Amino acid sequence: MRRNLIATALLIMSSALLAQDMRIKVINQRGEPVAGAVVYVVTSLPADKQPTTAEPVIIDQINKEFVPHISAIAAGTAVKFPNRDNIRHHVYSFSPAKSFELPLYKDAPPAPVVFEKPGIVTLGCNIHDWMTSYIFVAPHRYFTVTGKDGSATMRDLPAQALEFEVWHPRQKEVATVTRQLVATGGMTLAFRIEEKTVLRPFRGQANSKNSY
Amino acid sequence: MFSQHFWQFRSFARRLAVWMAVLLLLLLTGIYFAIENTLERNARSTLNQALEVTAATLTARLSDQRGVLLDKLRLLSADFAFKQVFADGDRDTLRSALENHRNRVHANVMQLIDLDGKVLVSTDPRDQENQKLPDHWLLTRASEHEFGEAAGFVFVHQELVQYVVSPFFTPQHSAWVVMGIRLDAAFIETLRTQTHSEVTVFWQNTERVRIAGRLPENPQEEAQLLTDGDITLGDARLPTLGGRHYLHMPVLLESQPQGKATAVLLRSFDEAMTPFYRLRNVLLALCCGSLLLAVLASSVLARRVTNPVRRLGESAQALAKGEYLPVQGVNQQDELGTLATQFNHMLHGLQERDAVRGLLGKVVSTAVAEELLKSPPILGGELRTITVMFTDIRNFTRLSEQFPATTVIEFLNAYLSEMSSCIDAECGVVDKYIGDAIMALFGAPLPNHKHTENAVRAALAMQQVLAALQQTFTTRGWPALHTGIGIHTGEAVVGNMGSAQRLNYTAIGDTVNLASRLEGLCKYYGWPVLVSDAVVQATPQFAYLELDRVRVQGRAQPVGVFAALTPQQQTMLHADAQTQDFEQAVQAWRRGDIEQVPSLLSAIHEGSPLATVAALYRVRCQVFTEQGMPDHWQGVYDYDSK
Repeated sequence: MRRNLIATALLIMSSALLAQDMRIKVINQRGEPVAGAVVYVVTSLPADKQPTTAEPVIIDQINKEFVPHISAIAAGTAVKFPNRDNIRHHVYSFSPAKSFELPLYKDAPPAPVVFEKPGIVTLGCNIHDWMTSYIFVAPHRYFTVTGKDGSATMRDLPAQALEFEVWHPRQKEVATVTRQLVATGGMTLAFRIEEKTVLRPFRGQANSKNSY
Repeated sequence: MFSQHFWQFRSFARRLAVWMAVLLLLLLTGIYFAIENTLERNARSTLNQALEVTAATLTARLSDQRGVLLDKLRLLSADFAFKQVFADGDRDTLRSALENHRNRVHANVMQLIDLDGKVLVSTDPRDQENQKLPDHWLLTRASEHEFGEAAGFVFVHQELVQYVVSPFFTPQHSAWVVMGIRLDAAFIETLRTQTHSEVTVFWQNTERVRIAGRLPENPQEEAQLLTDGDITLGDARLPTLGGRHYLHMPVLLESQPQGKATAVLLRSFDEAMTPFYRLRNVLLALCCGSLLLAVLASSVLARRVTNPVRRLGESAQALAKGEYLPVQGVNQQDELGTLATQFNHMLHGLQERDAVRGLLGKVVSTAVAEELLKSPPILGGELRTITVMFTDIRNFTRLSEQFPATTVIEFLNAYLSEMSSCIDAECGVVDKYIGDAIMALFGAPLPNHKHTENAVRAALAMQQVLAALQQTFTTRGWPALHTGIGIHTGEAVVGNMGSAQRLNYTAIGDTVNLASRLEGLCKYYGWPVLVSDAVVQATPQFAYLELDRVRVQGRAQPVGVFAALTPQQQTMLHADAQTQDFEQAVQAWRRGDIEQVPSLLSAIHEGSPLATVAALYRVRCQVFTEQGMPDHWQGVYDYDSK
């Protein structure tokens, strides 16, 4: 059951920041900071302003969990999936943005996977049901992911009217905000999203130390 | 309901029988209901326990089934190949995979439903794919669950299906997988076999649909199953015959706005009560038997009481009529037997007493006999003023010689009976018969202050009776009887005299002698009733004629001799002028003026009632004239002989 909730964005003026930097703050309906929220620019930007591909991003597999759980990358970025556990994992995705499979491996890391298409890719492990990870593939480099305190900073934004959106696996609706950025002063973009319960495969207690 | 007369028995036996029967009936009814109550409660308790066990078994089985189904479902939702097919969107392969899994786990249906509740794939061709499920409460329930799982009963395609829902991850939550198994007759039959309880399952929304179960056979009775309390299937008016009585327990399987699934568990009450019904027949037989025995026993017992009582009653009734009928055939050793024996003893005693009394009454006078019976006779007497009467038949000795002895006895008895009756009528007592003579007492043994009057009245009555008796005697050829009666009153000793072995109640003394002498004088004076001057003084109401003053033999005191007059004699004398002459003659005689006496008596002729006494005086005067007057004449004539 889904209810349409309006996410409200508050734009607070702050003279302490530069014009191209944007402080981001994401809270939920209870006023709690939301970690792992991806805030990105929706407005289509000229190609020269798009960032180039940087070095590969790493999504670790530690203690039968993907780390980090949520990550954001620019389209065309390569991602490495090293396995730091002493058991094998089988990483896969059936997401339309990037469908791939890294069949059972442990020590020898497979080749990095390049995510060309913007979109959301959900990763899973065929061995461990509960292992999931989200990769937000943005079409440009104007995005950021909130930390534990629900805040983040987006730098070097062009001074123009920009539309921002926030995405989170548990959010009910995508929140969109449009803001005219000017060079004279920094500002803080605050999102209030409505979180919902998202079902995840259950991770139970291991009966033996190494097997589960 | 009963009239008052119903309880008023005329027969003791019937009363006893009815009371025994009523009491026994009350007792047996009490026992019957106590047993019924106990057994019924016991049966109810047992049945309720059995129903609870069935309910627990049903719940456990459904719960187990749900758990197993969920486990089987989870296996599929974690299947990598299935995820891959789902990601590819290959619906036919998905359906095939579901079908394969359904067969593998022996489920009835499997579905894949998207997050909006639309059926993506179903193994049941009746399901509309790409259509939203009309009832997606189970999905709502699952989405509210911590792990996205849910289970419940859904009525679909006229079947009640136990569904389980589990989320399908790819690896994010992409859809719901659903697996269902029908709750059908086979499932219920297994439960029935295991628990021996009948189970009927319904689905109810706007209408009621029976999913499974044999009862009730008549669909009109189904509504009863969903009510509280006991139910009767079949003919409710005769629960033990046509109808079957059940205890039931509804178990709610599912309750949703879309409808309610209920399993109703039934246990036959009649079956549980079968031992009681058998016992009831035994009790009924026992009741009838013991009632019959009680009535018989009470009847026998009552007869043991009523028979002797009836016999006693008959004897008592006979006794009232004066018959002595001993109680027969009561040989019991109990109180009634003792009573009968004592009654017979009493009867014997009464019979003896009556015999003695009858005999005594004949031998002695009735009053004496009564007195004797009242108190034991004691030898001895008392001095009392009484009146004594003597009667005698004139010339009886000569008469008795003229008639045969039997005739003499016959007319003597007739005479004595009549005379005695006159004495009895005036409260006199015949003291004894001395040949033709009677000695009678007045004022003893019973005190009677009018004894003199009674005696005189009796004597006068005897004259009347004798006159009447004369006619009878004449017709029978018997002689005419003439009597003499002497009466005197005075003190006499009365009491029982004789020896200790044989005694007589009688009177003795001068009074008795004088009465006897007066009776003896009757023949000289020609008057039938002579009384003493003491009698005349005591009874002035009667008419007397003074006849003489005499001194009888053995008695120094002179006594006035008077004739007691009947009314006829009185009239006769009154009309006769000679009476005065006679009285003057008597006066002259007393003075010793004997020369005048014959002239005074000269007018009295033969045939006058005074003729005899006149003749007597003439003779005396002649003798005195010839022999000279006695010395110291005081007008009292001495009788030397008796």
